[in-house]
Amino acid sequence: MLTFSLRRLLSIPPLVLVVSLLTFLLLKQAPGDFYSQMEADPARSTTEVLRQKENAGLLIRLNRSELVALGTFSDQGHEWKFEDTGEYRPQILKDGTVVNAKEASRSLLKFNINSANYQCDDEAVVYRKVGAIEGFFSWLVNAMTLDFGISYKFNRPVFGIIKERLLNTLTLSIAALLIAYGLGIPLGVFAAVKPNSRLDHSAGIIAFLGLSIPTVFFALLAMLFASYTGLFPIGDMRSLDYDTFGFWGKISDRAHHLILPALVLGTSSMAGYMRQARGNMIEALSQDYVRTARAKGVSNNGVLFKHAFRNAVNPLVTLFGYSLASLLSGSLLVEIVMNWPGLGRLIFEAISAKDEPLVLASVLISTLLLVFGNLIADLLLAVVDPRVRLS
Amino acid sequence: MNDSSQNPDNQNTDSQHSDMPPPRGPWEILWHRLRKNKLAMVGLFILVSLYLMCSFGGFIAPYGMNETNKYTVKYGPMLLGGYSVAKTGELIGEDENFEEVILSTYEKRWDWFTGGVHFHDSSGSFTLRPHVHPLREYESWDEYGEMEYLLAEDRNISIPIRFFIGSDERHEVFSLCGFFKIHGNFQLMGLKNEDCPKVDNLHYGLFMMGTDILGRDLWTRILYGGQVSLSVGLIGIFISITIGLFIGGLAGYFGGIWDFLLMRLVELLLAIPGLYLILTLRYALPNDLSSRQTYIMIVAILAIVGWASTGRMIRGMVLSLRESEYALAARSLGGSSLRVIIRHLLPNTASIVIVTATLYVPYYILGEVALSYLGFGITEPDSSWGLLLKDCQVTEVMKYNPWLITPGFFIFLAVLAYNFLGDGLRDAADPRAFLGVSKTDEK
Repeated sequence: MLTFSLRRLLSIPPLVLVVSLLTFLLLKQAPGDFYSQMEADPARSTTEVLRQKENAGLLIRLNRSELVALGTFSDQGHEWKFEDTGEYRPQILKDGTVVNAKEASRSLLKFNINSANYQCDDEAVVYRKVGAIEGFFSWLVNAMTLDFGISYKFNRPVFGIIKERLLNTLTLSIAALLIAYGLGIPLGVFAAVKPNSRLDHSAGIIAFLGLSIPTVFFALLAMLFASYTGLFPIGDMRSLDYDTFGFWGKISDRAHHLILPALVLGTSSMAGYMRQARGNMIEALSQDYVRTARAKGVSNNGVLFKHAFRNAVNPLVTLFGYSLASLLSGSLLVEIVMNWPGLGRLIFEAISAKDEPLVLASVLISTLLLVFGNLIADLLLAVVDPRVRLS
Repeated sequence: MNDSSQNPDNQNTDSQHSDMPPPRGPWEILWHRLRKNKLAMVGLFILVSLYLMCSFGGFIAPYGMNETNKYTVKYGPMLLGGYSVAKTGELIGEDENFEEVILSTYEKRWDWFTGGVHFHDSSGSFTLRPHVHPLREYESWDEYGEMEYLLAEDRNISIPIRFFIGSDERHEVFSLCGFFKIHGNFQLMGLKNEDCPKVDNLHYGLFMMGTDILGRDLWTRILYGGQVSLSVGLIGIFISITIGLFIGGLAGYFGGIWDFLLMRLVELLLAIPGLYLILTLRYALPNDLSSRQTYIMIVAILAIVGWASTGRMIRGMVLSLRESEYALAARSLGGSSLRVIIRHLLPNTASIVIVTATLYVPYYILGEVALSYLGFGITEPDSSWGLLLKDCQVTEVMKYNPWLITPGFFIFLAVLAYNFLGDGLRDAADPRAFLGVSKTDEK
């Protein structure tokens, strides 16, 4: 048990490392970035855009000695050279003649030497583009201290944004999970107690529909329902005048906004639990110990709830971890359709805005959640069910 | 395909019961069992009709995919009814000579099943041929004397719907996933120009499920969209099962370092939540793609994300089958590894692979829907079910045009049918069934 958990725990860091490396490379590989639109905008000076890129860690400004070390290179048919003459900046030589910075920047824009890309701003300050691997390692070093960089779009530290959104997503997922357990298990158990009854058949239909209904469609139907009846708010987490409410008002307002998304998100897990609870319960009721209990004269309710129910539901409880993982993926669409400010909507916004630090961090955090969810599920299963042996 | 020769038990059990019907192959048994399952047959029927309908979409659809109605008017679903106007009152206004005139005010009203497609001709007598009413502009005046146009059906005029008519221009009538097309100039139904009255301010069209926000026929868009959405599911599952069979077979058969590396790759793919991975992959690909390229890209992304779980399952099965007697026999007879894998091991995973494939198709359909809905997949002017749902993104728009959600029902139907069929197949492909033992013998 201990060795199993240790081994699983030890396998997480390399996995997360590879996931973040692959994601990083994928993002770097993407055509265009957040700044490409800015660069194309004639109203913005190149200097300004390049400074911003430098702050974002995409470019590194070359200092005096590095400029000189570039040596002679050619760009668009001209020979360029930086020469240190002891003045406050190196002299720029174009085809052997000295030119001033203004003139140099007019013809020297982007060039590459030995597959390293360089860019030059309006004052002939030269920047080197940070390579993918190099960028990844500097990101990794910062990420160790939970510094995931600054979001391009929100202009705030990524970690703060993620923390806030993650809390919202967890609220939604846990509410959905509660609904799934709270409705799914009782329905499944009652369906199993009276198999082939009307309740059983309708539970079966609900399970089929719940498992099949597409999240997007269901969420849209829920929004349609909310907008027609006015019983539920349309999207978002709290009302506009949230701050004026008292303590209980705040709580009920949040709950009011939470119900519909949680119901939509919880439906498919609910259907799954219902099926599983029914199957487990039917199996448990056919076991010898149930017959023994009945033969001993235990009341019907006693047999159902003390003997069969516990054995049937235990394995379901352990599915908590897996469900959390699947809810995380499912909540992305619910959050976007129902306008819930969670992690899923964040990654959608980040991808639309080409906000790379934010995309990277949200993929990483969601992966961590999923991996830990699965680990917890495996461990719980072993704790609850002695037949499962982990080695 | 008949695998009974590989299954010696098949003949044995049958020969013991001389009164039993002649021996059947496993596929025959599967089909026999499936046919008894009502839900599965319903699912199969729905799926076959959906696929046929969408393939012949160009023939069935009354309009072209991007044909906007002449006046860009939004129509409600004609199958469900139509708008009529009701006079609400009169108000006294003034004309340009400051003389008082009486202006009538109208109110627009939705009549369930009484408007739209109906069965009485222009004289009002019943016919079997369905008719539609044209829309007329009614001038309505509000209390401030402001005029607005209300569009409602003119119930006095009926236009017959003609079936099997020729169309003016050649268009696609059959399309297999958009790759193989047949063109022609005939269509199932439509309105004929010569039937339509030439009156000003009269709009007409055959919009059975209404129009989208740009005034295009939604039913037509659904048919063309289904070609994309439904075929993405089939092609996607085909590719990912192929990858899964190849990699799972390789890892399971050879074991060792192959197994280790491939399974770590599978774990890696399964560690990232599905939609997050799909969106990230999409981000890395260029945006300015043609419609054909977009389609291929979506299938590729979904297959890359999807093969992992099938691969792992197949690897597990091959791992256990590798030690079976017939695999040992094949190997000792000098069969090469590739031959043993392809000829002996993989066919034995076939039943389970087919069941899983059927149950997984919905995920591919939903993946395409999610991508297109979010704006990263199929884009205008093409059509797909996810893209059509995108019109509902603004709740206000959806509230006043609730028929825009119709494509969602089709997605739901397709997913439901696949689940019915998959469940039925799973029950039918119970491994014990392959030994030729019928259900009654088990008890």
